[in-house]
Amino acid sequence: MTKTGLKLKTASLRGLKTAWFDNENAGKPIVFLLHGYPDTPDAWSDQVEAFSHDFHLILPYGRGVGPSSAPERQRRYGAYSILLDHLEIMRLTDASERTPLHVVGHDIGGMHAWLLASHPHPRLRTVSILNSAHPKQYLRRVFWPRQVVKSWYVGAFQLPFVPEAAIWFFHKQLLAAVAKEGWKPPHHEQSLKDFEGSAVNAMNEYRQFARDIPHFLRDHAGPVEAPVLVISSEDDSYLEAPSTTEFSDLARSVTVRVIKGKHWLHREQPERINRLLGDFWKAHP
Amino acid sequence: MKLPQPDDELALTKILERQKKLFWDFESAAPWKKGVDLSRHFVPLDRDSLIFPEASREQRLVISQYLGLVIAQTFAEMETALVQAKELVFRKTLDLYPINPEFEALGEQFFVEEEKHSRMFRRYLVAFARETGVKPEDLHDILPAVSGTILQRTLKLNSDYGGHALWWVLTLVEEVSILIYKQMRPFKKTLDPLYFEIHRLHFEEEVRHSPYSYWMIEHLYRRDKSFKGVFFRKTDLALAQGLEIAWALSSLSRIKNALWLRNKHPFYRTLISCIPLLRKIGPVEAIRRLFVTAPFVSLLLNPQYHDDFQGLIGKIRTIQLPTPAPDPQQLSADE
Repeated sequence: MTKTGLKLKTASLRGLKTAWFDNENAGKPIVFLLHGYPDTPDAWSDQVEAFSHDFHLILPYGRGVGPSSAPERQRRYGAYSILLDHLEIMRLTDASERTPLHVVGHDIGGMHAWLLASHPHPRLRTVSILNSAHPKQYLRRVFWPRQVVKSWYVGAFQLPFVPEAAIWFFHKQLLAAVAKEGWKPPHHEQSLKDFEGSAVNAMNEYRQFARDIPHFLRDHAGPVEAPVLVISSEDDSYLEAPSTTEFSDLARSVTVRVIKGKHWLHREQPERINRLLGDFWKAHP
Repeated sequence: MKLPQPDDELALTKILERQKKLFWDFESAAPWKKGVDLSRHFVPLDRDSLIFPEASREQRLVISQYLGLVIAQTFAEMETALVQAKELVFRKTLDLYPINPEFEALGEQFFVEEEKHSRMFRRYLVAFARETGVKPEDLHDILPAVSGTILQRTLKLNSDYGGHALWWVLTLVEEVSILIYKQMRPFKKTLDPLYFEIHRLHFEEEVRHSPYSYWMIEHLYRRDKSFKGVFFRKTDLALAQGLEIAWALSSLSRIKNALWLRNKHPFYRTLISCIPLLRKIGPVEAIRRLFVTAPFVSLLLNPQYHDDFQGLIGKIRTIQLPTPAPDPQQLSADE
């Protein structure tokens, strides 16, 4: 058990070792926290501290990050494959499938949160999206010049070898650059191996995202039924602030909040984000 | 003026609670039973009675009352125009550029208050019409109108294409309403009590909610970073000013419609008798005075009177039409 009361759990899910943190607060509503890129579950440390007492917290590692194995096949980095992993983690956490569930995702974790929410769940109470976009929303933004410019890294990640080499040789400079956007290093000393996972392996999610575009476009899942909270930043270097109209076919009920801040809002303004999340969950128990 | 940020949901919640707590109902708050006192000035005047030099005592009284009606009608019409445009300039705009539910709720309250102000000023105008034995629509003909004018149509067109000129117009009207009351306040004892009181009530609420239009302007131009957004950012204020100036000058010409009412009440007869006074100064001087010295009218035509407004212009880095330096005059309200 770690200092924050989180226990690391692993399981072989569809043939791959998958890891997640669990505070084992059984009986309380479940909060599923999905980190982004190039993060680990440690990115949620401020939220863990705030909510550990009142909620059952589940913090999965992304595919290929930390103890979650890196697959040989590119397809296992795909959003729909990761969705199956998340559903399996939820089943292992709560076999009854009755405990109320709140899903929170940041960055690419937000995309996973949207897909998880699109999967019918009577126990799903809320979805909270931080600095992220629904896959369809993101694809529609190909017509937004400013968003295309901000998404430069998605294009760069499609190149073979070059981004890996850049990260290997310039990881300190790259970390300094994302730190300006509000990213913070993990509280524990991050080994290069961890970083290799969160920065290098996880890059494959973006590569698979590009390959999955036809699937996203063909996905006819209806709008998310649970209430959705979208928190975005005015000065996010990777994402343009949303308009409410973008969600008309994606969710039945959306609350949009645009805050002055950068890409890692939950690290930059933890008290405020915790208050907004807490109030949102309280309003939809 | 130090304001909280519009994304500060806690501060906005407190402001909204305060707005709702202090919300007044104009039916019960204003002393309507007192009626309109035609023996008193409505607003104080400068020595030259706006653009009517050498006006007699009787003419000064009527000019003051007419100016008071013009001010009331301007607020009624402008605030009605805003409420009518609510779907376009508020609802659809915030759908495109949302901030948070608290900002939206505060906006809803803002529109409720604006609509109330409009009804309050219209009620005063109806009371005046009754007092002078004319129909309200006849009184309307001698006062400025916004509905159906080029001003309204152009502002709507600007909004349809993504501009925000209407918010500039509204912000200036809000500033004018605050300044008007401050200029009236020293003359409280000599002005029509009912007229003074509706302006006092108006002032109270305007001071509380005027930051909203500032927030909207800053927010909209900050969020819309498209080429179109930059274009409107640079041109909206100049468009608003141009329209306002043209509208104000053409509106004042409606005074001549009082000719048809001259037999209804001495007020209209005396008002008509003021028109020849205009010839004593000529059109160029009249326009200069309207921008520089005329009380209340110059507040609307000349943004240089308003420090906060100038600050906003600087922040947005937009283009404003040049106006001559204001020259505020000493005011009086003869007893």
